[in-house]
Amino acid sequence: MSPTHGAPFRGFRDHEESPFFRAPGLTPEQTWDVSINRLADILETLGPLADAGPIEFSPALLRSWHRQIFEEMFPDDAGRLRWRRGRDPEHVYFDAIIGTPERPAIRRYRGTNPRKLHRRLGKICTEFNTAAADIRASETFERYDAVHAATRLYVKILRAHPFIDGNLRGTTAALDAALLTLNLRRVQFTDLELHDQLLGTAFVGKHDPYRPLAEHIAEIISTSGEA
Amino acid sequence: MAKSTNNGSGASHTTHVVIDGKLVPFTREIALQFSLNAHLLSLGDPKRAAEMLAEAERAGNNGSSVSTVVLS
Repeated sequence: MSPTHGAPFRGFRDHEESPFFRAPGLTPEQTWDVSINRLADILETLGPLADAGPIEFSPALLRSWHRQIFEEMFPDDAGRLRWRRGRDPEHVYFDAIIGTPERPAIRRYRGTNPRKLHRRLGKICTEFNTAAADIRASETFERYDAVHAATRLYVKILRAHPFIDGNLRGTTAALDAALLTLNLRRVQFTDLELHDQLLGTAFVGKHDPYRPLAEHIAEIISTSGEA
Repeated sequence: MAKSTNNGSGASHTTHVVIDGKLVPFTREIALQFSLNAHLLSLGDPKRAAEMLAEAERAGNNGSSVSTVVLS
């Protein structure tokens, strides 16, 4: 693979209705390629970042990752938390799978109200930072506790849906960073359908909804062996 | 939880990943595969993502090099 990285993924494109479908002056495929490369840039930096010390999560850090992925193509919206379009609140809607694998159903969610978004992200980050500090300080925590904390962070950011587009791409960096700072391997969801199903379950929000996704992530890590 | 950061071979959790059962350095190529995976997830349509990879493979856009990672 070429170290310039664009060629192998030519031909892919986002949904046409996606706000980040096509950057000015680029084709949809070029737009896709650029964001692939920028997210890869971030993923490469996360290892050294985790090695340098505990990663403290904050809304600013989450925004910086999103900005890095999209700023050269969508400078007005990259790293910008949803707020207002004209006089209207900038709400965002997204679908998630609920139900069982046999009888799946789609449920539409609305992201956190833009007025509450910054505070909500702050709370999510603080919850993770506190849990991570406890885990690092303890000798009795099980690995699953760390996976569960990272999973909660991942799900809650996605449920808040801070940006007008590119939320899952930005939050992928957050999940990787959360796992690495908890001394766990980063994961890749090879079964896309299962990921979506477990994420939908996590959004429902009852009776430890994070557990199925956390167990799946723990299984991926376990399959990949100890660090 | 496990506090060790490497297994004695210098392969720490921050520098290596397991792909297809093998411990490999987290290279630029692997970073791109992880990035592609996130992009496909972001489509919110696993079947469409699988079709895109298949089309890329047929078109000779090196889709095969990523399909084993994404779809295995």
